Amino acid sequence: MKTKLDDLGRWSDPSVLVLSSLAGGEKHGYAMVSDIHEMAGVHLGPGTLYGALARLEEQGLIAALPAEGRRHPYRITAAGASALREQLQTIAAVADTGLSRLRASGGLA
Amino acid sequence: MSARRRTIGRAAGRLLLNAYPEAWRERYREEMLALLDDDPPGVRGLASLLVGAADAHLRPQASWSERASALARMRLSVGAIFACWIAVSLAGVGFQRTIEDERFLTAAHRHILLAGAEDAIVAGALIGALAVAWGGLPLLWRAVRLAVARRDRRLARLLALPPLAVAGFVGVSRLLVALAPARHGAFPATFVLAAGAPWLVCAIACAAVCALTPPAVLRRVLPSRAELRRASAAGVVLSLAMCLVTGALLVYVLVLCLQAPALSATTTGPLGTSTAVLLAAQCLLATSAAALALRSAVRIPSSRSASG
Repeated sequence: MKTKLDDLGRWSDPSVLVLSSLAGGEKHGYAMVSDIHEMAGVHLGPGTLYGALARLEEQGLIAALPAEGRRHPYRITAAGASALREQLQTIAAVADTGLSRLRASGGLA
Repeated sequence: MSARRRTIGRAAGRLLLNAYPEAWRERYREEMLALLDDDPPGVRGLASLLVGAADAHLRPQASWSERASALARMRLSVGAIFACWIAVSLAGVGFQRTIEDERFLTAAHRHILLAGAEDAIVAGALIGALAVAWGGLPLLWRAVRLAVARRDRRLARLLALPPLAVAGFVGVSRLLVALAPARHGAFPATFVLAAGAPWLVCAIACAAVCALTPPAVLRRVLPSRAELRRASAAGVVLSLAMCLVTGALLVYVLVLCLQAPALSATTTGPLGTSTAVLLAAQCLLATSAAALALRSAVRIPSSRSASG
């Protein structure tokens, strides 16, 4: 099943991380980087982060909030939450299937 | 990360932001600067900025374009096309030097497709040169007049950069050839490696300077609508000329490989480098530049209609 995030090509993985971070509340760039690092152990570079933010904003999955000084917080939109839910459900289904197959084959203790 | 590395990363990150399109920088620059201050990038972070800049140029978002004026978009497209022309010209000059050998002239007499491809390359180069003269010279003259009238040293430096870069590259090339050991066949591999690396770095630096200067000059010169429209029309013709040159170059290389494979195995390049490698590099450069130019040219009509 094709999700909206699939249209983002090479930016889909960072996009999932960004949306997951924003699902926990509005954040600016550095807060997202820190949250994603804590959540997933991944450190997004500035070019990667803003490439994902630009595409997500273009697709209407996130929205920019009024600036606080130089920092611009973002929030996830309803469309973004829906797209994230679809994507994570797909990932969860794959993870469940993979793990159960590993158990069945004795590959997982 | 040490304080020194953070400072260097922050400064390098700020510098790399200039590689992003103008419209992108209007939208994201301030918040990006804040991020660079909070989280100075290391090597990977700087690489992500380079990749992000390339992606932003290749796949601009419509929302940025709405913020940048239509004239600014035309200016960017025209600047990008002229920069691509410089890249194709470098490939063309390299191609001409590669096939100067008598054996290639003989092959062209024997194989009509080779001769036809050479003629098409020359025709494309002439059409492109005329388009540059028609559309680009008035802009260049305006830039020179502005630099003198305003005593704009930065603009003057920008205008001087390409000829200086080309002169430097030619000087380095001649020096390396003069230093080359006498040979009765190909140059020794050690010499090719020792001399080839700095030569390649010079070539890339020269090409980068020549390619990045036209858009930078146009950002400072702010041509009139009429000048920009003329340059835009010339840009479209130039893009088509580049496609002709690139197509003919690809046909030439293909026919050479099929009809005269012995020639592609020669070492007619500078410092005795492989002809096949040189021709492949020239094809790659010309194809990339022509594709980028065509993409920029496609965006010009929408910018012209939006600018009224």
